[in-house]
Amino acid sequence: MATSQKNTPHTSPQEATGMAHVITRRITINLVTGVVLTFITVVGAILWMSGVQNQQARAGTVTMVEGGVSATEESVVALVNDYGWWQDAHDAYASNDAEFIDENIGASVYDTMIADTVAIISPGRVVRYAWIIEDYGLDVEDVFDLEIVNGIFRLTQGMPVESLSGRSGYVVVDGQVVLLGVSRIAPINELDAVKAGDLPLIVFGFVLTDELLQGLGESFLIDDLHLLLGEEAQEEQYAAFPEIVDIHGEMVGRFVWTPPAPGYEVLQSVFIPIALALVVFFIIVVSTASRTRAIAIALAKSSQDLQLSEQELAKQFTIVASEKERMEAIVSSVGEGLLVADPEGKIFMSNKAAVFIVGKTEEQIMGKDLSAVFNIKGAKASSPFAPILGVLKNKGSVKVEEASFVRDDGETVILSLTSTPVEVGGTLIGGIVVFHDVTEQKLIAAAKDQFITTAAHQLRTPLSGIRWAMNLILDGSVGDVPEEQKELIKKSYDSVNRLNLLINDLLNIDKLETKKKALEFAPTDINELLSGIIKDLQAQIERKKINIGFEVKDTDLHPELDRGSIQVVFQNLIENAIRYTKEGGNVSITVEKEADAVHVRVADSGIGIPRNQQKSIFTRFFRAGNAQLLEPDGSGLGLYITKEIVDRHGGNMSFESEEGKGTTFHVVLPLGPTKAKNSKKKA
Amino acid sequence: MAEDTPIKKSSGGLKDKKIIIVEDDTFLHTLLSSKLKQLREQGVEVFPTLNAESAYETAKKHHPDVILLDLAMPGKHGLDFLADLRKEEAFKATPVIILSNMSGDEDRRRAAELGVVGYFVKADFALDELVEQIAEVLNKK
Repeated sequence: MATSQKNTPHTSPQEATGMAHVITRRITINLVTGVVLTFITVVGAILWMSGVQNQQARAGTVTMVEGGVSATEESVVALVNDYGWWQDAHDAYASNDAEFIDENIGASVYDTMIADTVAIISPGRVVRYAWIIEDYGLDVEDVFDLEIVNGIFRLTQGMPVESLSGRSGYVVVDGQVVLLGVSRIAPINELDAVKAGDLPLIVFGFVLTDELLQGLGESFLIDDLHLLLGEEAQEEQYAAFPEIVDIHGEMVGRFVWTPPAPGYEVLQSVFIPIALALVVFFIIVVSTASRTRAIAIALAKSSQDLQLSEQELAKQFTIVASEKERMEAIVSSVGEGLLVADPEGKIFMSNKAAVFIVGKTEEQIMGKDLSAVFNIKGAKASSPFAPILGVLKNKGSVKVEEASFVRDDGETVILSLTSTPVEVGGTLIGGIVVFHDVTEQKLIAAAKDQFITTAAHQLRTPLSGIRWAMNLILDGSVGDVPEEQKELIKKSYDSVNRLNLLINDLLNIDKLETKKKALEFAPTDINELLSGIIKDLQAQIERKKINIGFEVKDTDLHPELDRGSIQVVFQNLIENAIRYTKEGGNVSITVEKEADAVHVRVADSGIGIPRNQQKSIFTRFFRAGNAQLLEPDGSGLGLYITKEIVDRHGGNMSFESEEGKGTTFHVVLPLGPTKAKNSKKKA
Repeated sequence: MAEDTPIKKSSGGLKDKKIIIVEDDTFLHTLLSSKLKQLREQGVEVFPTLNAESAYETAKKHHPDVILLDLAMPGKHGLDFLADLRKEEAFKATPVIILSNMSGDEDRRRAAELGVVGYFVKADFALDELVEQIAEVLNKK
């Protein structure tokens, strides 16, 4: 089977599922990232907060590492505070106790405030000082910007030592403790030696006495030395590892400067905003992630549902495809030709039988107009095909018994076809034409019809001669014959008549049963028709001295009838009435309008029909027992034929009868358009 | 039987009326002739013919008042003959009575279209009915 169809692209549910998975994965990554960032932020915040007390975590450190483990700031402070001479030293210093200072601190420091200022920074600074001078060309004054707080010192660059006040104890730089317990360092006159590297790099003087060092244990910590070198500060500047020696000149350790982490300053300034931003970000991320995750889950579920739907769809598609294949195979195998046309009459489906019958290739049929496919034979022959397109316009099914067309090979083909509209959801999408080749059947039927016609004619012709001859003898046209011979001839005449009636019945039944022709309906004057029949039967009426009555209650009645057939109906009924009514009996015919029909009654005072046989009178070859006694010969086909014809007019036939009293037949024929089977309207 | 020969000519009410019988069966001709004796006695001329061709010639020659026409005959079919005849002005209204054993609806329909005044199935009617019909037609003329 050939069909034409269109494909529609669609999105794969697997793609949607994949997208959902990607979204879910990204959300998970974002969540994890947010959690980690927040964790880092929180931890950083905790560390930063703790760094207020312990700046080691964030700033650079100078640590004496070779002496042993690091001590805590607290332990150093405690140790210094307990070291009694420290107080004395400061007191002397504060009171300008030159003797004490000379004895314990050193005149050089006392003489040179600048050096003293440097010394206050730390031993490490001395070293740094030398290195700075040497490497970066900086003056001492340029190096440090110190603020001694806690009421001990207030020392600024270049300020004389006399301006110092308070006690020694803490050195705070930028609010952070940077030095403990240091009040003496290398004398200023040794600076050149320091620069030259000839002297020990750091001399603690008596501050770091053995006792102090011992009190500190194996290590000494100068915590949180914070150099303020300005914007130019580079971490490399602190990459020195000066030795620490005690007052005996022995190295007790080495300072290791651990520079601040890169970007520490910037980090410190932006830490809180960043932390807050990160917290807000985390909240947003968590909130968004939560919502998005819910959406993603729903999406995933939808995707899953979609996937399931697609699977189901695929399954259904497979079933439909299989069914379609089966249907196509079935349609293709159907012996009937099948063409389906769109509302414009263009063919879009055909099967093998159609292609074969039409005598064209599939390509010559598909997409072509119906009228182009069928080479219609003459204008008259085209009319049977008109209903095909009429179907599309009127949405009604049409059956055409015969439609002939000439194939491309010149052969005339007779088709029997049915056209039916095809509607989908109330919309007309085209029409189906199912047809089969009835050419051979029609030829056989025509031959049979011809045979029957010829046979009937051939039978009737000699019968006519015999009948006419007897007729002439009986009516005396050819002279008188003896009564005894006349009686015999009369009986022969009746026999010939019966034989003739039988031939007529057989012809009529052949017409009906083979449906040789459709009835042709046309408005018919029923009263005129009946009076004509009565007139034709006048001889029989007179012979039996029948009192005939013909009552027309309504005139001008013109039901749509097939005149030839309906003539047979009333001829049979009236002839029967005459035949089965004894001499001198009554036969009456009444015509009247009844609603939208014509009601014809044929009543007689005849022998009637036995009650127990009444149900069979319309069956073929049936004859009532009393009728056979009265008229031995008869085909038993008359009433069967009569009823068939009335039925085919869409009418109704009934009777009432009482044996010995008579019978009344009722024929009701519709006045309006006849809805009869196998009929066509006569133009 | 010689064609185109009046069976009998007699004087009467139907004097000079002419009937052409177109029938291929000579036996039926004989019987019809006997039956139409009454009419002939009234002056009707009866012209028996055996086929359409001779009937046409006879018709042209004698201008009949009525034609009794058989349908199934050797040569031209009776209705074809009638159709040809109707084409001629002189025979457009000539009364024609079909006398045939062909009783098909198509024949009846065509006959009606060609304006026949009677259709008798040979095997079905009594000859008196035919005579009455002929007399009626002739009397109307």
